[in-house]
Amino acid sequence: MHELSLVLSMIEICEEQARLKGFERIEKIVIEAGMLSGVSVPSLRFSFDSARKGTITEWAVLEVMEPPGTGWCVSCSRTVLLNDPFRECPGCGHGGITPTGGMDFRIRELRVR
Amino acid sequence: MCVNCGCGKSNKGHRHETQGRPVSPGQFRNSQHSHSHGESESAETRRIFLEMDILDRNDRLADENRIFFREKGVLSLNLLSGPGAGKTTLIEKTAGALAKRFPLMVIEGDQATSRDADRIRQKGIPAIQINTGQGCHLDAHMVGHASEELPLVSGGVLFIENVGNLVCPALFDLGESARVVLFSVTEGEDKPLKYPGMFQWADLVLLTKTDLLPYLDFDRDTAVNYIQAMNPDVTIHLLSSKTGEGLEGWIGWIDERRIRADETSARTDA
Repeated sequence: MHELSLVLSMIEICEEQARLKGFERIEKIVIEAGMLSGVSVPSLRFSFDSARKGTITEWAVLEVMEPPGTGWCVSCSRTVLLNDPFRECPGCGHGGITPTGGMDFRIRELRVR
Repeated sequence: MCVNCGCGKSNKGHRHETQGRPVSPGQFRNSQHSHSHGESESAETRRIFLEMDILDRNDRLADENRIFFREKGVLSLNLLSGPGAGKTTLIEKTAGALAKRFPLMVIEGDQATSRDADRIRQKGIPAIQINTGQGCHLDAHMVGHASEELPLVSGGVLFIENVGNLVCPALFDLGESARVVLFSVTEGEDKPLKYPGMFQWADLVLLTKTDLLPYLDFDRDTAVNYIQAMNPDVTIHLLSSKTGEGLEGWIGWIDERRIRADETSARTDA
């Protein structure tokens, strides 16, 4: 359940943005949790529901985008989909794929009033 | 438009792929995407495009810790494993082998009790206990404060024993010089497949409790293959803290890392 501390960090960022940019209510938070980010989206939603009360995010809808994992295969010289953490190229079976995408966990956008 | 994130900026000027292999999740995140996005406004609702990493604060504090440890000339090792893989026992045994050669320091992370720090202090090694309460992992903020309370001695080694957990600590960069994952032979060969996040960022994997191998159906080669499938470049050593067998490989690895850390700090000083 590291998702709880991630949610607390997310709320902290939202509160900080509210101070910096002068808004009082967040209607929607759009976040990106890549398939290789190590974040469980159901746990994240569960933690968010517990932690949001009394914060600026209390009434916000949480929209989660889950981009696929990608990796670079040296032997194919191309980017391949890598949703299985087992680092084998789905094309040629070569091991040792370097993950290149789908590892991010970030706030993309806030819709505020 | 940037094809990777869909923002209005051109692809030029910000990278999405790293040069070479990132060595920690924090470094991976930091190497990505550094352009800022503007705001767009409608009559009622404003859209604020943030593109802000949620672990950014932890990563920044981890970088501060890393600089602090480097300035102090300390090699910091983040010890990670599931509960009961033998992290504290390994530190005790390592202290027996190394304490006469150079200073050792320990930060202990557990949900509750100071039992581990007490065990380490009994060996004459300074130790600070962090109790995470409901938290399931250490973070850079906790480690930063704990390290201020320790006598960090140049040329020494700081062991940061994380909370026993194969999932959550993987995401949190503490500012360590290297990540050491312990994996005991009683856990089953397939742990690296089931907990890939923990294994993929390791610099060293220690297969521990090898004295029990004669009593188990644990297949060493399969375990090593699974570790390498998750992390092809990782160093793997087998050892038993109980009998001392294989400890020299681990000690040798620490020595090599200390020399490398010295060279880095000499380069930074110059």
